Amino acid sequence: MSIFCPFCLTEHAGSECKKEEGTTNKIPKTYINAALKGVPIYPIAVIGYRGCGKTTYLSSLIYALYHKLPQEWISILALNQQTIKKIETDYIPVLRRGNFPPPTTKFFEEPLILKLTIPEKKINIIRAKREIILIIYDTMGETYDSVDTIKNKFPLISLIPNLVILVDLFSICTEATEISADMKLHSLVNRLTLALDELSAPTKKKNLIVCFTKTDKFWDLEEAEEDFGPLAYKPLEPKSDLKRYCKEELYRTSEDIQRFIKKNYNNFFKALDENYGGYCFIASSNIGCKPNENINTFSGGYNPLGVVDPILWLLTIK
Amino acid sequence: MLKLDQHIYGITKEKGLSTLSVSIEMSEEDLKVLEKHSLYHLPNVLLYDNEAIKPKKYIYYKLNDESMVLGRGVDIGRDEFGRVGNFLFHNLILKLKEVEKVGVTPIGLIKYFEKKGTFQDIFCEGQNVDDDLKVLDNDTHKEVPAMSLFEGKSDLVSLLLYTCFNHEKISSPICICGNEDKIFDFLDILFSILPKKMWSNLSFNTFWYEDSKLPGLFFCCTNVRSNEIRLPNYSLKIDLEEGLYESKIDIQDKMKYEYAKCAAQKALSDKQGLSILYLLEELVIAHDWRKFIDLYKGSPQDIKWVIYSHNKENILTEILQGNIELLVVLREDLSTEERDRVFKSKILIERFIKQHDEIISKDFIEWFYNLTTQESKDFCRVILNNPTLLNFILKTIKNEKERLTFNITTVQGLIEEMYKNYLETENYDQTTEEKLLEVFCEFLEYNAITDIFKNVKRLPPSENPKILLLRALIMYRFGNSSKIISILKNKRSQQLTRNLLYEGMKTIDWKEHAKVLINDKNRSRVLFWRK
Repeated sequence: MSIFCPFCLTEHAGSECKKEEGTTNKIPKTYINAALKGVPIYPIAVIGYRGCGKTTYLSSLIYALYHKLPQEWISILALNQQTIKKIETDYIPVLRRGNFPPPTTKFFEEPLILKLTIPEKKINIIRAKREIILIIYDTMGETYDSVDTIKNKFPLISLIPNLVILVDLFSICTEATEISADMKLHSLVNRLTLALDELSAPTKKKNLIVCFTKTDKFWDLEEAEEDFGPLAYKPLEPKSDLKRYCKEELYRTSEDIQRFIKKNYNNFFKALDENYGGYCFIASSNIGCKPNENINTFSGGYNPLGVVDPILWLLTIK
Repeated sequence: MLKLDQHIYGITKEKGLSTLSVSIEMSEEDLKVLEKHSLYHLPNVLLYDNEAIKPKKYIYYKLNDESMVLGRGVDIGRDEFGRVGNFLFHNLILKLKEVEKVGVTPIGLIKYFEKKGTFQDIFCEGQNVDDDLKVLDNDTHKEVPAMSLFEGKSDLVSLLLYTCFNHEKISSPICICGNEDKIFDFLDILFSILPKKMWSNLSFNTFWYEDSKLPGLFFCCTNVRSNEIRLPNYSLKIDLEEGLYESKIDIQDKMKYEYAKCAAQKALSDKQGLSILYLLEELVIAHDWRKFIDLYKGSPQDIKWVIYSHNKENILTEILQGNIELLVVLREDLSTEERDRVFKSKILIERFIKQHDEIISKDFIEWFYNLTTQESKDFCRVILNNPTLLNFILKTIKNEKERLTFNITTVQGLIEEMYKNYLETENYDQTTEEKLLEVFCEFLEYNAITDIFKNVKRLPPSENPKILLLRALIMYRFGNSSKIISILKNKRSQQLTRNLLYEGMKTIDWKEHAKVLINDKNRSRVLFWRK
């Protein structure tokens, strides 16, 4: 019987998936059983320029799923050893010690495979979902340096319907370059769109979640609200019930940011609006505090904010 | 001169992680391979410890049919975002043949290049690199650490060598755990006790941490004992600190293992013997039989046995194709089955007959004499066609009377073959017939001889009195009739013999002939006394 494979993102029979170099990835049994039961599967890729915080974002997402969300909202299960290892050694312990992960050195890593379970009484809030599977790809920032690199190094992107684009707006705005921040943001979407076209993947079928990371850099800045609008506010800890948070707070924040982006980064906004089926805007802080100057550590206490919102948004639109 | 090409991979602000410099035009495929294997990862226990000394990582592997890579990865602190794990990887690409010619092990080369400062610690755009580096002809670089690491561990060395010789069948890596110095020594010694042609089949990574497998038989080494490091699924694991090893290798090729065992023994105690062993093996593979024979002759017995056992098929095939000299050198090593196989080779027999090789002829006879009676019949024509062989066989038959049935069958077979040959080709040799019949006459008293008599009559007519006599004796089985034999042996009885053979017994007046014989005898006695 065929199932949707988490490694090659196509349907095939069997419990193994051949890799390029001739070895195989074993599809976890729990995944197979869930897929056969018809559990919804959400492939997601985290994309963005070098240094925008993709790996840190993923680490914080998992940490938040485990520790930050109210217990009655969602429970989480890692479905393969690779994911468990990432959680136990690579990701969370590093951040809890106030360090950032090293740069990603592969164009795309093996995906994290997670199963989320939403308790029975909350089902009617987010459609009829009880369990969902997330297949999340972390990628290397260098992938997005050109259309060809995206196309040749990460062709799997054509099969991933949900793209979380991380934007470090603070760095883009403060870096001295010849092109404007709007053009730089537009350029990323432009390259992505062209690459997807080259790979014959209709962009209108993709959902883009634009997640502005490192918003902690805006906090306490003078005139931050003027320059960065709603991004300057510290994201709220989700406290209200899940329904209210998803239907109201999430959407309100997205609309606020959208207005700001449309006004100040119009080319970027138009590129999104005209080419993609669905999009939303999220503000997040991967660590929830300001990093230490110059040594890329942080000591303000690890408290990621807004990192789960992209996943929650995805659950509301399907 | 050792020509180097270079490839540098690392992180810059402008390009991120990418190929920073390469000294030649390279195919996309080769570049992809270089980049894939130019990653430097550290476990968290080292990565975030600012005080810890970050190890250097050295790799060695075959890039393509012509080239090998010697690479070094080093940690260079933080990237422009302040992230730990920034590194520089410098690959030196060398020609396979030059590496073998220079004869310095990969570890020796690493030490040399480190001493010369060839590997870069920082990347400066636009800087030139030497692309022709002379490897000094200095014995220091060819020095190999003493075998103390392997002393008393001949089992382990045998297993290691077996794994290397059998590399095509071993897909899982070999894990080596130990400190950097011991890892270096281990690899250095290993390469020094392997034939140089084998070096390109191996690869190593002196500081493995979640890296991809290198091509060939891969030695992945680690000096960090941490729960973070999960070793790959290995075929053999060696702990250099504890001196222990764990093997999952199933030794299926016993002969290859014996070869490896011999090589291990020689490696530990007799370097010259090791060279001889490897050279003999190379010569077999290259089918350089002339040099092989010359070297084999003077080699110690243990080496001879291992080489022969390990290369039996190749060697036997060569012998079967008529290499007599090789057979002469190896004749004492052949088993009964092998001897059987060899002497059943038509090409070989024709060759040693043509070359009149006495040694092999004797061996052949000895072998022939050990065949079953049925088997021996198959070789009669071969023997008939070779006077030397025939003489040997007949001599052996005369001397070894205890193998009666075999002897009778053999001679009978030879005579039948002689007859068949005459019928098919009209070739007839009087001398051969005389010899055969003479020997055959010795068995006339045995009842086993029957059909042969008809054939004797149909042989071509002969004027040779001896042949006539022999034929008559055989035809009529006069073996136990001394009076008739005496008559027939008389010189005047030639016509009698002829009549006997071609007209039959009934036409002969024996009494008349007996009188002639008696008169002849008396005349001879008178003549004697008169003298």
